[in-house]
Amino acid sequence: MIYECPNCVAALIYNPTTGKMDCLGCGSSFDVDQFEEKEKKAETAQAAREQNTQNFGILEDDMMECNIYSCTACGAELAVNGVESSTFCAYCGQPTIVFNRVSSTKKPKYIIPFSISKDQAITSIRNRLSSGAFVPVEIQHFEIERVRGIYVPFWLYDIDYSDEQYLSGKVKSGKSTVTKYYFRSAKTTFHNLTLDASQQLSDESSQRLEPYNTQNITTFDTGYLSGFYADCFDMSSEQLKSLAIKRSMQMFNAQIEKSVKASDVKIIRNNPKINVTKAEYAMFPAWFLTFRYNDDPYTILVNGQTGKVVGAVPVNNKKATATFWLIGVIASFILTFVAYALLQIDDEDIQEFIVYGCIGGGFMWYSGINTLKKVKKSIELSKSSRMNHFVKDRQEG
Amino acid sequence: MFILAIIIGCFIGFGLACMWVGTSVAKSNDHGDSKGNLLDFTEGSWQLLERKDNIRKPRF
Repeated sequence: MIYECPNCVAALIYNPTTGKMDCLGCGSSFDVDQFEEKEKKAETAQAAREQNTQNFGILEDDMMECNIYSCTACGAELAVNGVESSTFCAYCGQPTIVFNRVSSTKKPKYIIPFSISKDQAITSIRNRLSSGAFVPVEIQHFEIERVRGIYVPFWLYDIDYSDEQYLSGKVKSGKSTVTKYYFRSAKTTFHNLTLDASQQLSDESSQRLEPYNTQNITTFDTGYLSGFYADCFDMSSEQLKSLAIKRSMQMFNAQIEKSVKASDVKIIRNNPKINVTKAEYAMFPAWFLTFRYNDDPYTILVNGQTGKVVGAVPVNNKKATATFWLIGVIASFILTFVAYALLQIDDEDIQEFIVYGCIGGGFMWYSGINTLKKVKKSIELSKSSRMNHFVKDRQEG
Repeated sequence: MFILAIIIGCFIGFGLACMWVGTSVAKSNDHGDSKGNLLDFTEGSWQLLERKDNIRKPRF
C-alpha cells in the first residue's frame, strides 16, 4: 500500500531517524497514526486471498497486500510495500530481481520500526571493515546502494519453564580430579523469545542479530514498511514451536550450569515442565549489505534497532599468510637466541621459566587456531545460504 | 642444545604469529559469540528455587 502526501500527493516513506512519514515531494512530515484509519478502510475492501493464506489458516482481516519480487538467481522472494523498487537481490547480490505478482501475506501483530538510519548502518559497516587487518581493499569500498533495509519475520514465544536437575561435575582435589554431584531447582518465564520465520535467513545469523529490545515493540502498521523490503514468513508458529522449546531449554540449562562451580557439567536427570503460552508474529528491522568476492556472495547484517553489526568478511589469505610467516620468522629468530642463552645457565628457576614459556607458546597456538576456526565458520554463514542451497539443489537435480 | 633452542624459539615465535593473525582477523568479524542469552528474554523472572552442592550420588 502506498501512502500519499495530503499536501502534494507524492509518495511517503517512513524515516527511521524521526519516526515519521516523510514526503518525497514537498518534504512534509506526518505521524504514522494518521494513516491507520485509512488503512483499515482499504483492508475491508480486499478480495479473497491466495494459497499462502490457506496453508496457514489465516483469516482475511489479518492480511496485507504487497508486491512480491523474485530473484531468478537464488530464488529468494521479497515483499515490497511502498514506492521502493527492487534492482538487485538483497540475499545473493545479483541484479536478477524481477516483479512476480501482487500478493497478500499475513499481517504481523507487532513491529519494531527502524531506528538506525541507512547512513548510520553504512557508518557502522565501514567501521567494522576498516578495523580488520586483512580485509580485501575492494570490499572496503563497497557500493552504498547495495545496503537495503529489510523487515525480517519472527515468531515471538512466551514460555513458562521450570525444572529440577541433578547434575555432575568435575572438581580438582589436590593433584586428582573428583566427580561431585549437585541439585538445582529453578523456574522462569521467557517473554518474546524470538525465532526467525524465514528459511532464507539462517537461524545462526538471525540469532546473532539479537538482542532486540522488545520493550520498544509497537502494534503493526503498514506505514512503517514504506521505503523498506519485508521478508514474508514461510514457517508457521507450529513448525517452529519445537525449536523454540529447544532454544529455551538450551538457555535454561546454560544458566543452571553457570551456578555449578565445576568443569564438564552434565545433567544426570531432570524433569522439565514447559508450557508455550503465546506465539505472535512480528517484524524486526535489519540492514543487509550483500557483496561478492571471488564469485562468492556475502551478507553483512546490521540490527536496525541497536546498530549491532553481524557477519564476517572474507580474508585476504595471501596477506594473512605472508604476515604470519614474517612475524613468525622474526620472533623465532629472536627467541631462538634468547632460549639458547637461557639454556646455557644451569639454574632450576631458568629452566622452569623456559617450561612456562613453552606452555605460553602452546596457549598462543591454541588461541590463534581457535579464533581462526570461529572466524571461518562465521565467514561460511555470511555467504548466502539460500544461494548455496539453490546451487546444491541444481547440482543434485 | 642449539637444536633445542631452535625448537623452543620457533614454537613460541610462530605461536605468537598465529595468535596475532587470529586476533587481527577477528577484529572485522563477530565470530559467533554474540547471541542473545536467557537474561535477554526473561525480564528478571529467573529464580533459582533450590541449590544443593556436594550431595551424595543420586540413585534412580
